Amino acid sequence: MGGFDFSNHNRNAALHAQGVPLPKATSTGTTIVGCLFDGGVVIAADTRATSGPIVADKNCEKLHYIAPQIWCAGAGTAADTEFTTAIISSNLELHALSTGRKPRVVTCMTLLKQHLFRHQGHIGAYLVVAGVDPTGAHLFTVHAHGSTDKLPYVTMGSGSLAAMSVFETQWKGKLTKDEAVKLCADAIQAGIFNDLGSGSNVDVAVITAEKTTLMRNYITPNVRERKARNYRFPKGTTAVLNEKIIKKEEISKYVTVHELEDDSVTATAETMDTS
Amino acid sequence: MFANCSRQLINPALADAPSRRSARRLERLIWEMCEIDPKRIHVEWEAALPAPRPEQTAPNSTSLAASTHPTPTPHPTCLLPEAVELHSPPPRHPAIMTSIGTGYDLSNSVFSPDGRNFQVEYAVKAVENGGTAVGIRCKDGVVLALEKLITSKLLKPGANKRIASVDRNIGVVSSGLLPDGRHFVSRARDEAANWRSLYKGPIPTSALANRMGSYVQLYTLYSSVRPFGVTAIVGGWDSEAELPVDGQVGSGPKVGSGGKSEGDKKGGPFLYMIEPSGLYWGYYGAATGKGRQIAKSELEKLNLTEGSLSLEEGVKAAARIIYIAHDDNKDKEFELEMTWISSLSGPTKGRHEPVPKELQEEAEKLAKKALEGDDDDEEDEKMEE
Amino acid sequence: MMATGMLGEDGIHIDMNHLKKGEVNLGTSIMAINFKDGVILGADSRTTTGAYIANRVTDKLTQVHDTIWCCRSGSAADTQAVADIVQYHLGMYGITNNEAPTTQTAAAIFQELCYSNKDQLSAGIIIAGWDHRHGGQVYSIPLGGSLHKQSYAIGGSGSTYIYGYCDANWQEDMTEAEGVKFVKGALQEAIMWDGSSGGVIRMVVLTAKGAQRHLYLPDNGYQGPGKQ
Repeated sequence: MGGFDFSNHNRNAALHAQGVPLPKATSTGTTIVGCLFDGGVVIAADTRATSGPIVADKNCEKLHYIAPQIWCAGAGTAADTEFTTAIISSNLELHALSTGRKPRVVTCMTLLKQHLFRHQGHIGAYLVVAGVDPTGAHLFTVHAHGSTDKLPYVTMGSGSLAAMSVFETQWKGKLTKDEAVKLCADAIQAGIFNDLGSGSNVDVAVITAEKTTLMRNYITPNVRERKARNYRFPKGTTAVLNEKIIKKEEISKYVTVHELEDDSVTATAETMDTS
Repeated sequence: MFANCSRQLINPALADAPSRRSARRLERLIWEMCEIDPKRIHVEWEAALPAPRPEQTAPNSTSLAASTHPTPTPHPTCLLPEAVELHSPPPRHPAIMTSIGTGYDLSNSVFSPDGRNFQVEYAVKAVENGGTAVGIRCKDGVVLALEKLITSKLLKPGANKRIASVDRNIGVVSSGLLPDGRHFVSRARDEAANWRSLYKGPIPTSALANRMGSYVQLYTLYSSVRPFGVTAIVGGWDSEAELPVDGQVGSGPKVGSGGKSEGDKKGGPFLYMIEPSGLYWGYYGAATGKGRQIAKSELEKLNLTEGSLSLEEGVKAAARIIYIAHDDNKDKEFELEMTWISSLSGPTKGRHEPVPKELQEEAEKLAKKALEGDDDDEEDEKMEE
Repeated sequence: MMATGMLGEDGIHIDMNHLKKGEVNLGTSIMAINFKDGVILGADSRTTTGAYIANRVTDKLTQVHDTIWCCRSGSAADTQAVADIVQYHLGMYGITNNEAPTTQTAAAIFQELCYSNKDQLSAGIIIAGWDHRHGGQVYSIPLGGSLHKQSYAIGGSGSTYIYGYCDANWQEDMTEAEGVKFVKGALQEAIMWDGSSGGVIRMVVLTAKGAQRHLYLPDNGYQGPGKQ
C-alpha cells in the first residue's frame, strides 16, 4: 500500500512533550558580509563548513552565483543555501530571457523572500544578496523566514556579531572599491578568529557596473605550516630480534594463492563478469 | 437526378436537429461530386419548402425563406452620459449579408469573413422579442421598469417578479430569454458577494457592470457555449455616506476625519446596459426589448442629461414609456413591474425596492391617460399627413 | 513553548509574543494619529533576533498605495509578506476601477489576510491613510485579526509604556506641528522604557499634499533632521 505513514506521530509528540528535543538539521557556522561602495558592492565569506563540532570542509565556497552581476553569500543549512540560490538563479535567468532585460537585484530578493516565506522557515537559508543592475548597486539580507532588510553594510551567520563590530567601528559614508574590499575582508577575519563556527580563508566578490570579480581565497590566514620536525623513525630504529620466512607452498594450506599472469595487474580480489 | 436525391437526403429543414451538421457536410460532398452550383440548389429548395409558420421565428432555423437579408442590428442609440461616439455598422456587401447557409453562423468561435459573430447577432434577435425594459437615471435615484408579458392566464398577477436585486443597492432588469436573465442575476450576485468578501463593503455599480460585461463577453468566445440571450439594465445607488468597513469596531475620532476634500462628488445614481456581445455603456436612460425604439425616443424627450428629473417624475415617465412602447401590440396582456433606488435621504434610503403600490397605481393611471391623449395626437398627426 | 494562537487551559489565552526559532522580530513601538489635515504615522527603527539588533535603522512604515501606509509590528517576515500582498491588491484595485482605493479598502484587505491566517501569523498592523472622500483615517488590526477604527492607534511591545502618555496628551483636531510633537513625545517615551524599541524615530505625514517623511535621530535628542 502506498501513502504516508503517520504511525510515529503520536510517539514523537509524546517524546517531545517529555522534553526530548527534535533532531537538529546540520547548519554551517558562518561569517558572511556585504558592503556598498561608490560604484558597486562587495560581498565576502569565510570558507569553513561544520557538522556539529567537526570541521566538514576547510575550504568550501559560500559565495553563490545568481546572475552575472548578482551574487549571494549564504549562511545556515548548507544544502538549503545551495539549492535555494540555484533555483532562484534558474528562475531569474528564465525571467531575464523572457523580458530581454538584465535581472534586477530587487527581483532576486523578492523571489528569494517569497520562496522562503512559503516554506515558513523550514528552508534554513540566511542570505546576503548583492548586485549591480541598471538601477544601481543594491545590497540586501534575506532571513530564512522571509524577512528582508536593505542596508549599506550587512553581516550574517554565527560570526555576524564579530563582523558587525568591524563595520560599526570602521565604516564610513563614502568608500572606494579597495576600501570596501579591505573592510569586508577584515570583517570576515574578525569572524574567522573570534567565532568558533567560522574559519579558514576569506572569499571576496566585487561587483561593479562593468564586471564581477570573484576572488577565491583572497586572504588565507590559516595556511597549514610545514611541520617543524620530521616524526618518522629511520629504518633500523627498532631492533630485529628474530626472523622467520614462510614460503608460498606453506601458506597455501591456509589460503588460496593465485599466480598473477600479467605484470600490470598487481592485485585482483574478484573480477566482475561484464560480458 | 442527383440534385433531386440530395434534396431529399440533406434538406436540413427536414432533417432532425442533431443530424443537420452531418447533413451539411454531406451536402458539400455531393456538390463536389455532381459539380452542381450550390446556389442553384438553394433556389430549388426555396421553391420546394413550405413557407415557415409565423410564430416559429427561431433565428437558427434553416428555413430558407429567412435568407432575405436580415436587417443589420441597430446600434443601441441610447442616451450616453458623456459624449461617446456611436459607430454605425459599415455597409455590407449584399452577397455576404446573409448568414444562413454559409456555415459561419453555426459556431461562436468562428468569425464570418466580414468580421461578424452571427451567434451574437442572433442573441440580439432573442432580446428583440422580449418585453420592453427601461431604466432611468434621475437626479436623486434610479428607476427600473419592465413590460412583463403574460404568457398564461393561470399565472398569479403580481407574482413571479422579474426585476431582481443583486445587492441591497443594485437592481437588474433584463429582456430576452428568461433563464439567461436569471443566470445573469445569479452571477451578478456572486460578483457582489465576492466583492464584499474581499473589500468588506458594497460593490460600486460601475465595478459590477464591468465584471458582468467581462462575464457576458466570455460567452462570445467559445464554440461550446452560446451567447447570453439577454440585454440587462443594471441600476444602482452608490452610497454617498462614509460607510464603515464590514465588521469594524469603533468609529474613529468624534470630530470626524480630517483633511477631506470638500465638494467632491460622492456616490450617486448609476445606470448601465450590458448587451449579449458584452458591450456595456453607462446611460442616463436605457431601453431594450421589443419596444426599445419607441422607448428610446421617449427617453430622449426627457432631457435626462440636464439631471433635473426627480425620482418620482422618473417613475411616472418609466410607466408611461412602458405603456407607450407596448401600444403597438395590444393583443398580448402585460403587467408593469417597477423598482427604484433613491438616495439615502429619499424614499428607499439607498435601497433597491419595488415602487410602492400607491405610486405605481398613480403612475399607471397617468400612463393610461397619456396614452389616450397620445392616441388622439397620433391620429391627428396622421390626419395631417 | 506554546504555539501561536493556541488556547491555554483557561481557553482564552493567546501567546502574544511567540515567534518561531530564529525568526526576526519587530519588538516595536508604532503609532498613527488623526490630525486636522490627515494622518501621521510613527515608528522606532529597531529589529531584533533574540537579544541581537539585526537592524538599527529599520523602516517599519510601509507604503501600500500612494497615500495609504501601514506600521508593522510582530514578525518581520509575516508583516512584510502581508504588506506585499496588500500592496498588490491595492495596485490592482486602482487599475481595474480607475479610482484610487480608500483607506477602508486597504484596511479590509489587511483584515481579511490577518484574520483568515491568524493561526500562522504574528502580525500587529496599524493602517493609516488619506483619501479625497474620507480624509485621514486610522485603523488598527491587533493579533487576532479584528479591525478597529480609532482616533489614534498605538502598537508593538513599546506601546504598553505610553498608554498613559497618549491618554493624557491626546487632543482631537491637532495641527501638523502639534501632531508631530505628540507622536515624537510618545515614541521617545516608548523607546526609553522598552528595551526592544530604539534607534531613530521615523514618521510619515499623509495629507492632501501627499506623503511627507520625517526622521529624528537619537544623537541630538530626536531634534532632527526632521522633514526629508
